Amino acid sequence: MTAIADARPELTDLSPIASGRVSVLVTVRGGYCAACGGTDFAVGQALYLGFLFLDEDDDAYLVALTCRNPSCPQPRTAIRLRYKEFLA
Amino acid sequence: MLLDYPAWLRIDHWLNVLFLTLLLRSGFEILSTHPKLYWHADSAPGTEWARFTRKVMPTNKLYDTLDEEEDYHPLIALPGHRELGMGRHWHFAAVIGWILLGTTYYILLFATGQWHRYWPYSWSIFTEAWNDIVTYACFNLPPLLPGEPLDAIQKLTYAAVIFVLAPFQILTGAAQSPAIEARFPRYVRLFGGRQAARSLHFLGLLAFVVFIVIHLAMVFFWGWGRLTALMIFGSVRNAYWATGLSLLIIAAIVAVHIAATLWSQRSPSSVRRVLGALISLPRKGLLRRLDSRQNYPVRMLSTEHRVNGKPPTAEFYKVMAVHNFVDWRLRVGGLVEQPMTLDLAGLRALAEPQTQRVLHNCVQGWTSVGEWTGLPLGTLVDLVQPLPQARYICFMSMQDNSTDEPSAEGGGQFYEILDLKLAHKPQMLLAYVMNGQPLPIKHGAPLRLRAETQVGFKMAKWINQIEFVDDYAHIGKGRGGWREDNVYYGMDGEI
Repeated sequence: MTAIADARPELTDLSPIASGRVSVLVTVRGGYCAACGGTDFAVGQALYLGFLFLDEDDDAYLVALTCRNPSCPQPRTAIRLRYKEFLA
Repeated sequence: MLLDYPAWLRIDHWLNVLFLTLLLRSGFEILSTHPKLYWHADSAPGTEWARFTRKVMPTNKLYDTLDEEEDYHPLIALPGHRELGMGRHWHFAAVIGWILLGTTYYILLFATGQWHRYWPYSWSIFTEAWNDIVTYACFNLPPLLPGEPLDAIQKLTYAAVIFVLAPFQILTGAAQSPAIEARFPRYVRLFGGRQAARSLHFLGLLAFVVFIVIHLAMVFFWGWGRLTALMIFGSVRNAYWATGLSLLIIAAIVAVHIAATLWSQRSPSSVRRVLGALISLPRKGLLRRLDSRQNYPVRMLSTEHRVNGKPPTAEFYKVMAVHNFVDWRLRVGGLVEQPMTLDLAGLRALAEPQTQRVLHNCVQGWTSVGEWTGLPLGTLVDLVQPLPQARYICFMSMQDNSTDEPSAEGGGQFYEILDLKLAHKPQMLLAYVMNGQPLPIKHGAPLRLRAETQVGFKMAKWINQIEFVDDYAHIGKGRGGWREDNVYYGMDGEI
């Protein structure tokens, strides 16, 4: 049997610089948690949407955000960004 | 031995024309849905040796094999216009009739001694056959063999068509059945693999087309009235009547084709019901009992696995995906003692993962070899304990074809129904890993079904709900699955 990897092939780890840009963009856009209203998020991995999903623009990405409010009932959310906004 | 034209031979001849032309047209319909031919089992894009499409697929966007389908005209395809479900029904129904007809032909041929008309008694026939070809090339007619109804090249050609080409087509066709491939993988390798079998099957089809063209030309040059009199009255007489009757018979065959085309276009559900009842006899009687015994070597794993069906575009799915499906839940319920709701970790913890390297068979004809790891379906069934009245399993997908698959006919949530009796067959798997990595989004992440004796459309992807039911008449349009509802495939996927 082939060894099984846990890392999902479509997900990309972000550099600290890219993560920082995402955090800034969340703040600039007034992003908040739909479940608890929190505004403090941990930035996770990015998923390139442009190739996989027919309704997405070619340069569209989704970046994982996790609400840092420990009592948040639904902490996992995401922000849709373009390549040039955080990866260029 | 009098080598004449007995009534059974004449009847078989004209019925053969009907079945063979139905097979040819429905064969072109099947080809149209994946109009590319390969020699390698992985059907990788760009490796086809023949293509019958001008479509150029995008490189910046995920495309699937539904996007690659071609729309062939009903003049060559039955019924034409991308109706694979109808094409399959006609092809399989016609092949059943053709095999039965061929069996009676063989039996009567040997029982009556008429097989002598095809048997080459001397090596010199090959020299004579070559001379015949030269004679035809000079626009002359060669002599018939002494005491026989055929010349040498005709005798050899008919022998080749009847005893080689026809069985070859049946054998290469059978080699494309997922159930036969799964149970007898070595049989498929006899032809060089699944795609080689498909390519050879196509070349056989072309050989039949060439044979028919030359056969008609021969009849024309030798004398249409005289030869059709042999095949209608059994002797050379009433040439004018024979000409008229032969044209009438051909018109009747054309009428059957037109009726089949119109019936398929106007009432596909009734075609599916009527022909499906006939086809389900060998499907359930012969193929259902076959178990998958595949174990392809690692070196045969396909580097690229084509896609049929696009990932869900719903926002909740994308958000789940970017978090590696932590929030995904599988609900298992319906007619069970122990309904369950599982996350991915919980699903993985249910049992030791099972891995299988197998050939994937898309209903369109392409294939690839993949390694799948997951939970045996039978294990899940044992855990939830279906109630006695449960007979089917409904796999529900997060894919909504109203928004997710513009190339598909119809909309709504994708689902597929499987007979509960199949659940404990070998290599029935709920797969969450492919080729050693988490199941890719384009291949059904986080969970898909693997049913190795079935064609690919039965293997629902992007699964988030499994229901045990006693009947499926009230689900969707009641035909046993989204493809069955909208593309009129048969519910049983063994061929």
